[in-house]
Amino acid sequence: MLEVNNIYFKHRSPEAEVLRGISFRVETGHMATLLGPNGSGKTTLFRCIVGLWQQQEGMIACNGSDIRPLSPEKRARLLAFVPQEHEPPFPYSVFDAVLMGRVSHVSLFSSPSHEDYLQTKEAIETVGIGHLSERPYTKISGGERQLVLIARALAQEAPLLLLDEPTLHLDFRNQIIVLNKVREIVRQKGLTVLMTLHDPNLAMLFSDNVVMINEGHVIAMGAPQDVVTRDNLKKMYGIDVSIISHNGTRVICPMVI
Amino acid sequence: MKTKPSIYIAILLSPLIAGWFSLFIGAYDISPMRILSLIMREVAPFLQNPDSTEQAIIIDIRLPRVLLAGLVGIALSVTGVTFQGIFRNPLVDPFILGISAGAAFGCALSVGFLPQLPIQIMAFLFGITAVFLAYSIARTQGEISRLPLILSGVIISAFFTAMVSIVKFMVDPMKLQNIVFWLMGSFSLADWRFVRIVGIGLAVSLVPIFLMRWRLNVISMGEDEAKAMGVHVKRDRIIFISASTLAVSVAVSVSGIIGWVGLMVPHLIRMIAGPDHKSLVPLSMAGGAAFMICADTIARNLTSFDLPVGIITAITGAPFFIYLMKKGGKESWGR
Repeated sequence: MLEVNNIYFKHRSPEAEVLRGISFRVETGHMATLLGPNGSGKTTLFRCIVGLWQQQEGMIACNGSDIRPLSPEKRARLLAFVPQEHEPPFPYSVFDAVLMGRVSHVSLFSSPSHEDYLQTKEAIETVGIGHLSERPYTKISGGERQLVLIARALAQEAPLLLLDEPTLHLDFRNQIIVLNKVREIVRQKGLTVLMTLHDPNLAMLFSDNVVMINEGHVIAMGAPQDVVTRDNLKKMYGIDVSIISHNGTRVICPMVI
Repeated sequence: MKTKPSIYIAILLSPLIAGWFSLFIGAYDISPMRILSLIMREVAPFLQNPDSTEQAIIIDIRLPRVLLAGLVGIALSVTGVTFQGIFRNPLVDPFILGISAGAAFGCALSVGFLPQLPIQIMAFLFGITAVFLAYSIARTQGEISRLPLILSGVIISAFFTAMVSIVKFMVDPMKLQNIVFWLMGSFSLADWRFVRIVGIGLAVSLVPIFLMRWRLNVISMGEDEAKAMGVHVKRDRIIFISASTLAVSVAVSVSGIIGWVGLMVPHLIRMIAGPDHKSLVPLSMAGGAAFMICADTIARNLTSFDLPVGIITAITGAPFFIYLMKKGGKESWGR
């Protein structure tokens, strides 16, 4: 369970308040999505939860314990972070890249043990990229690389998974494949997920809860069908949409003039 | 990429082979069998009565020189790998980052004006100053990008080279000759005392790098990602940078400035065995030792003079760097 309680964050220079009292919680086993326009504070909030930045006020708790005083190793065993796609420095093999997720389980002056290799292999099989194991991860497709980063987070063996725009740079097909895979794994392992997405349609399809933030405030949260509404989308993005229901699936369609 | 065990073993054995050949190549012709018996005699002195000339050439001149070249080769290539990993930049090495120049200034200062201070300590102090200057100039916010780091290395290098020039200008002519010759990078002064100094220095500095080498993989993914995976990035970086700088300083204090080795060797090994630091570090140690022994053998046999080995490595290194630039293109220079 992830609990975000009354978070305030501002940058030192230029002094601007980015988060102004954000509170929400994600129950164990749920998939929650943060929705918000560019500059709404999503990324800042993520960086605070992961521990890269420190909020000035408020508490972030994972399974009941405050994460701020934890060492990087302990924090990494509680929450795993899947970053946006990055530019790899060296062409590591997929296996070596996933193995890196084990670093919080490896002591400072040693190398990964047999157990770490087993866990890595399992994580790779779980996301279904076993056939890529020995390939350089610079020479696979964007969707596959996203799966590598997800496998790396799974190898970390943390109960909470944070995904920062897992569908960025992916084509239509790969977006669905990646999110489907995440949902399948999360259900199977009982993990808790918080992710950010840009597309409210994907948010409706793939989340149990949606938290909408704008200008550093939570403007709505709850089940997708209650929260992703015309009014809320208008409030957040400033555009008019119509919501069409088809066979129980709701689709958001922007009104284009 | 899986490395074939045979290639792995071949690279690990290469310094022994290079060292063995290097022992009997030289102005004074001694046959391999003779060398073997000389070494045997050193180990078990009661066997035969020694021939003092050959004994002196092999045991007191060539053997320490080969060992010193090997050790310095190890120091320069391992630190090259380390810096490339922690700065996630395949184009840096201790020479490019200005550490060699900083350490050289420390040595020159010690030789010229402060003979009471140990040369290695002065080298370390100025070496570490150089790397932190280069790092903080290049670091603007968050991640450190590639080109600025190389540029700031160039700036720091130029600065310390100028400082060395001031020392050269002011020092008395007798010492000047020493400093100039030593700066060119050479093993011609090698003796057992130097081997001991470098041996101890490397034992201290390379143990942490060797034990922590797998972490270089994680740190090379970038500061934010490494942190999120549970690495104490700041602490680990300080350990890696201090240990590497110590190794480079000790190497510079006995052999002067020898450039490019830390860039070339890791690249060649990466091409052969892949980028995983778990194997890259030990293989680069072996490759660095073999490369330096070969370069030094060429340096002392190419002409009737004992050429500074720094000239040989620079002659091979410059085209290599150009090749990397052309080949890497945007991949190495972008960002």
